[in-house]
Amino acid sequence: MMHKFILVAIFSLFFSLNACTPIKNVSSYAYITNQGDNTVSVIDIAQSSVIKTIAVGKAPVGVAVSRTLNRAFITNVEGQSISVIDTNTNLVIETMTIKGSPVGITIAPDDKTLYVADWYSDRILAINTSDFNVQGEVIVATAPAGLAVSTDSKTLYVAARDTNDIAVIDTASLIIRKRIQVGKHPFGLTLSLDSKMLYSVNVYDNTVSIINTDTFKQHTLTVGEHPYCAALNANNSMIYVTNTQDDTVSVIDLITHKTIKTIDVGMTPEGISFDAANNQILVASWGDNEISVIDAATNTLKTRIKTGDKSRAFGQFILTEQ
Amino acid sequence: MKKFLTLLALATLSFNAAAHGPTPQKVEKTIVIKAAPAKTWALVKDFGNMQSWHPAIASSKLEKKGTEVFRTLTLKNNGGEIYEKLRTADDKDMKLKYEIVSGVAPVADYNSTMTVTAGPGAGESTVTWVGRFYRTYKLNPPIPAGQDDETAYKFVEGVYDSGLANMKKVLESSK
Repeated sequence: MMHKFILVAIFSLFFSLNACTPIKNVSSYAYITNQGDNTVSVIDIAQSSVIKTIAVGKAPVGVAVSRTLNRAFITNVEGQSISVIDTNTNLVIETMTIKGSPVGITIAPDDKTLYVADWYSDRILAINTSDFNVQGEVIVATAPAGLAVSTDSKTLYVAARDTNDIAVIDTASLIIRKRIQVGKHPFGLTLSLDSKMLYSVNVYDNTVSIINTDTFKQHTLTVGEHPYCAALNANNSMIYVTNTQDDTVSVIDLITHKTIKTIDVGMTPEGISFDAANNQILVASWGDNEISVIDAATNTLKTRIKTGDKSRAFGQFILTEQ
Repeated sequence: MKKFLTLLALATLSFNAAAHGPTPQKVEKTIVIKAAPAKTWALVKDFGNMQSWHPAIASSKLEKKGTEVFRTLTLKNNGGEIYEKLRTADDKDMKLKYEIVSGVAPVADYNSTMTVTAGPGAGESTVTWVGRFYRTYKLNPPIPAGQDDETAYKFVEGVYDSGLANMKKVLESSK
């Protein structure tokens, strides 16, 4: 009797471990900003469950995470602040006041500098990640939105919504080196792993501009209604774009430039990130208060995870732990 | 209803669809109507006939520009006009999508979806009306009264609540 019980116990442990262990044996967590209830939902992605809900400032939008720093930075646009979360304890350890309207946010790959787009003040702030001091700022254009930094941390790209271009900024001097004209109202920006390709999601003309960052040659893809953000898969062969007013995600093959699938997701999909640990794409649904999870191998909707009110998650929101 | 009309009267700001703020608002309202879904959908999708069910609208004018369809809503009590564009009217999903182009509504970048579904009971239909929009003020705080999130939200909520209640009345009293 006892033997049988132990055997069953061992078997169930074996199977449950197998079922839950992610592909690469690493854990990943999503930090989702919920505009409507002023919180961040922390999701254990392999478990598809919210493990903590953290109170932050008013109307959180943007998010940037760093595994090296063990930090998640959250922009609270109406609260005019940035919440700094310690990702080991999932507690807010600092709130920086920003006299403006912080929206877009990203961390340079060297983890030294945090860049924040101040929507109504037309500027980008460069903040030191060790002491949280503002070390510089640059005026870009009306309504700066999405941000991306090159792998070598030397170049910052800013989507300048109202001037329909991307500002290319030298991070050492904070000088604008170039402006790249794109489609109407660029919002989300994504860079390829090697930083050779930049993707700008253009809200008002329903397109994505693909830009070669060496030659600045461009190609334009058509997507769904009012697209916001994009994410790339593991080998950067596919791009996933949230179409906020179609409630879908476009999946586009970057070799053929063809849309291979349009996936129904939760209402008003906004932020989107690639989860390398589980080979899936996570999409924040503002309208349905959830994360829609897409299997990147099959390009099908896998599961839905309830979050807080009006999830946005504008930025790279997934933290992967080794 | 009175509150809604007061809000309408307050709404004298010019509307600019080209730019909006960073914090979208949402109003979502649902009503169950004792009428067949096909009958409810026929009323919902009749884009040029909103005055037949919405109590705040005096008249409407339908306009076709090429393949695009627009309507001008004239509000009661000299409330002014709202100019709207039809995006899609999907018979299969019984889903109507439209946006505000310009007008007196104290909102920016407003788009809306009305959906009809069958049920919950036999011979009943459920109408869901969802709007996404922004406040009209487009600068850093302080935000002036009348151009804030609350004003925009209450306006849309008033439109939806009074509209759905009267749509139910209209559909349930007609045979």
